Amino acid sequence: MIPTDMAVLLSVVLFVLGTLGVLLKRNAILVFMSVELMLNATNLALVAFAQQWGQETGHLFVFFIITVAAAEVAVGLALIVAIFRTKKSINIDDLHQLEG
Amino acid sequence: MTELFLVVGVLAVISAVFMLLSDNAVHSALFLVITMVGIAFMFLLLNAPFLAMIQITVYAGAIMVLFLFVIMLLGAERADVSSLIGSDNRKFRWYIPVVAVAIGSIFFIFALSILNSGVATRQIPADPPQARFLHAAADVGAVEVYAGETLLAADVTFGTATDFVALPEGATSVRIVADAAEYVVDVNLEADTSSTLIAYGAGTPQVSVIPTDRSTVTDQRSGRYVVFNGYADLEAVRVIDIGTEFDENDNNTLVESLPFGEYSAPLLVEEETANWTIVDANEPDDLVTRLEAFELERDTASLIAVVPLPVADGTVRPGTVVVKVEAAPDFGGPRAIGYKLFTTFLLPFQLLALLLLAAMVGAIVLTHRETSKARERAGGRRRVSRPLAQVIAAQVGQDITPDAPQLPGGEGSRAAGD
Repeated sequence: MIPTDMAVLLSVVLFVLGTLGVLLKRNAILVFMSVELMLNATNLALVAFAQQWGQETGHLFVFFIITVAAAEVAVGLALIVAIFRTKKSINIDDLHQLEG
Repeated sequence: MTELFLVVGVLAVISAVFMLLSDNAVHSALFLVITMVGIAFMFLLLNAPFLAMIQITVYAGAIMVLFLFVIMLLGAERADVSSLIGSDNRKFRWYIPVVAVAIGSIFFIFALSILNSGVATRQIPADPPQARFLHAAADVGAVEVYAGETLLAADVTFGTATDFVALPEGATSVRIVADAAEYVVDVNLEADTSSTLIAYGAGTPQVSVIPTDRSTVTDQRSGRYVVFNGYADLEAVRVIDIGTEFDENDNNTLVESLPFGEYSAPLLVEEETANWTIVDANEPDDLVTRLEAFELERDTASLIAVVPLPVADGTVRPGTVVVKVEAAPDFGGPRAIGYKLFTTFLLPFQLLALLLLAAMVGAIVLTHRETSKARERAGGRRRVSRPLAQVIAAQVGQDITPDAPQLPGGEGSRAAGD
């Protein structure tokens, strides 16, 4: 049996790597992939805690997160394709009309 | 197990790092696939086999294929002109070291708090004891069952059992109230256990406590069966699996000798249609009762009580009362997940289905505009062909449209008039 703290530590490492990718990458698709990595890291923590407490609710949450992520990827990639058609670029530095 | 965890964990982290450092988006996607598979492996090690399979099919399969498809569709392999290190010809971005330091310190805070939290040593709180009441006393009508002063179940008739209810830990006084009489029995229940309180016997009923193991049946395709002897006329009974009636040689003694008021150890038997007989242990030729065409079910915990049954003329004969309960499903298995999904999480599950539908419609709408434009363009091209027909007609020197209706089926007129 894997110690829960080790699994959660691994999940934190992956989450931090995902955060770095989101903040530092300039390619919209890679930013998106980093978001997926962060979601996976949280899933790992949820499964580790579910095993620790012997409760399946954590598994159900992971199931829902995976499904929502699939929906999000479908819409997000469609958005990226649509943006690429109008702007001819998916570099997020070029997509700043809102001037946030 | 821990070594395996370390190897897979390090592999997942390394491929995540390479995903960030790689300049080619396709390589990044492939490194992310390795990380996803590593996480699926972690799910397996963490007792979540169902989620591991979902992770592989949905993430490593569907989602990553979608990513690769879009990357190649857009030709975006090299779109990330600046790598993470910033070794490109564009201006130095001041925020890279700031972000790295900020995220790194957040990571250290997280890691320290996890290692100091002692989460791995915490114990699961014990569940309160569960108990049910089985009415197997032939001479007593419908009863009400109280634990202390609270009513557990009303109108329990012969041969039926109540559902399992949580009772306080320790000594509990259980009262069984029949029409005229009241029987009190003191039971001592421990946490994390399930018990069956059985009332049995002719005349004044006796009450016994039988521990009922409802945990997961680990044997493949098996169910758990406990036999209880509540038939006072015999010293002990024997339970024999006689197999098919035609084969005398496949008799198989399941319980050698079960004295009155005792219960057997749990029998793990595979699912099938069985023929069991219950005989006098001292006189094996004296049949007590039989369980003919008895359906043995997998993943269940059953109690078979051998008790006197009332017969129409007011006398009793030995018979059996069988109560069955579902065993706990495998932790993290599809049965457990499905059970929770369709009970506690039914509404979120439905909303999720709607969300997926909305996402599908959204993805179609986002990509639809281009398609309709293309159709417009195609229609436009067809429109310019009409002057072209006139040009041809002028060059040939005669008007070709009046000839068209003579063509069979009138195809020509529609083509010309289009």
